[in-house]
Amino acid sequence: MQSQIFMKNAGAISWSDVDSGEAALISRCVAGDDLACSELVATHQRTVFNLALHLLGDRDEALDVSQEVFLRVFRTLSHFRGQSALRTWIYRIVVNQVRNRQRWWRRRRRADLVSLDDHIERCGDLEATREVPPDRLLASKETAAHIWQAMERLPFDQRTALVLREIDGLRYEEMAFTLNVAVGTVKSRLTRARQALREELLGIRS
Amino acid sequence: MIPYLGCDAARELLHEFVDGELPTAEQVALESHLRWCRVCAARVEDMQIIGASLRVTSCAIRAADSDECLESLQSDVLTRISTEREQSFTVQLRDMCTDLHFFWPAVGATIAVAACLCAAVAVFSVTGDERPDSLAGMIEMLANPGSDENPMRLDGGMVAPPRALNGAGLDSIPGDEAVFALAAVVTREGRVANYEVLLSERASVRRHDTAVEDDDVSSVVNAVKQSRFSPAQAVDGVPVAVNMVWLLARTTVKAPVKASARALVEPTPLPARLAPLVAPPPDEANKPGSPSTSAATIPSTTA
Repeated sequence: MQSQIFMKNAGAISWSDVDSGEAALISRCVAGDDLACSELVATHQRTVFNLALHLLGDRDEALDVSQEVFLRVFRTLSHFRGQSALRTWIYRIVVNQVRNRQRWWRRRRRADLVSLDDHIERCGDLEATREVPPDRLLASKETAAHIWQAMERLPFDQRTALVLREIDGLRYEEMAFTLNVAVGTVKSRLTRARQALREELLGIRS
Repeated sequence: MIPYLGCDAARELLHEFVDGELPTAEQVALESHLRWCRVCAARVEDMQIIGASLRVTSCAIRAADSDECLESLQSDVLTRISTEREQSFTVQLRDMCTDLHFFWPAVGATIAVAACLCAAVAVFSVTGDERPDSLAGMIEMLANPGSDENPMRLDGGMVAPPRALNGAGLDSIPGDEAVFALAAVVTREGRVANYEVLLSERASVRRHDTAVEDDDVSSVVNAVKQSRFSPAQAVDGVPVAVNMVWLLARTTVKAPVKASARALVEPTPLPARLAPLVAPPPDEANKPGSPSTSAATIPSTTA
């Protein structure tokens, strides 16, 4: 019975942007294979959790949203048609879940996000980047903290675009699919977000 | 040959340059521009600092006890998945209601539409059958003179329906004298409607004998009901309903009869003739030379 479901659902999916190994994993998940589900969660859980954490700023909320994201993934995986990479599709679900969560917050007038200072105090010092010379680009961890705080004050759409680009390294087209907008909209959101942060940076220098 | 790029054009490309999304030709041109333009180079450097700051802070945030969270995440997700599969119908229903941002407005809109439809149906059902005694019915009736509900009065400019009633049922009434006054409406179709007996008198019937009198009235009414007219016409030729009053009378005039003639001539009833109230007065029937003055008893009916 399980194999019949597997064959039926596997035949319904067209894999244009998904490699064969990922397609097979998805088909097994749709068929109800627990091992495949476990593998999928293990592959993407860190990405999902980090993105939720960066957008929400709260570890417990990010963990809760991550659970909801994976449940949503498994509920709707049978509708996935390979129109994008699986990772991008999951990113889209994360962004939508975080947006819903923030609406839920706003309805309850809750805005007590964990500040970056608390994070740094709890998690320790900043690490060095792999591509930017520390002496040149990062004058101090205080500068980075100010920029992060300024990023948290950005509108949700701009903040999401900036996180997807700068931290998760998505390309414009992937971001457009994730945010369900046009590529031009992605560029304009990135431009506005960077301008706001650059003004913050110039303020720090002055 | 590297094309020249001004500052305005270069600034349009800086973000894509930082993100590595520029085509090769434009990237080469922009790099050439950045070699001599300090302003644009400073912008690029600021954007790189911003990106580096975000990445560094991100690493600091996610470094702390992420592994513990992720271990519990995997086990929790798998447990919930297996539980949900056991309750698939509930899961599907809940999945439909996941995004409450659309769910509640949809529910509200559906209820509002249903309420509006119910209200519209109720209003139509209540007002569909218009009562004639309601205000709307009276306004409708007054706004439409000449209708069957609002008949007009005959005036000189109108073409009146024929005034005589053929076979008004007086023939079947025994006795010599009978008078009936009948009000009715001649409709646009020429039918007689809303009749009302205004007067019913017969000389040969005692007043308390109501059963006999009712039979006579019903025979007259039936005769009137079966009559058809060409309807009255207004000045513009449109058929209209009009009020009519008929006075139906049968009068028997008995002349002095000689004994010899009394044996030979017996009164013979003639067909009733009916005329409206505007007909010549009954006195004309008794004029010398008129048929009713003949020696024989001639029943005549005038109105």
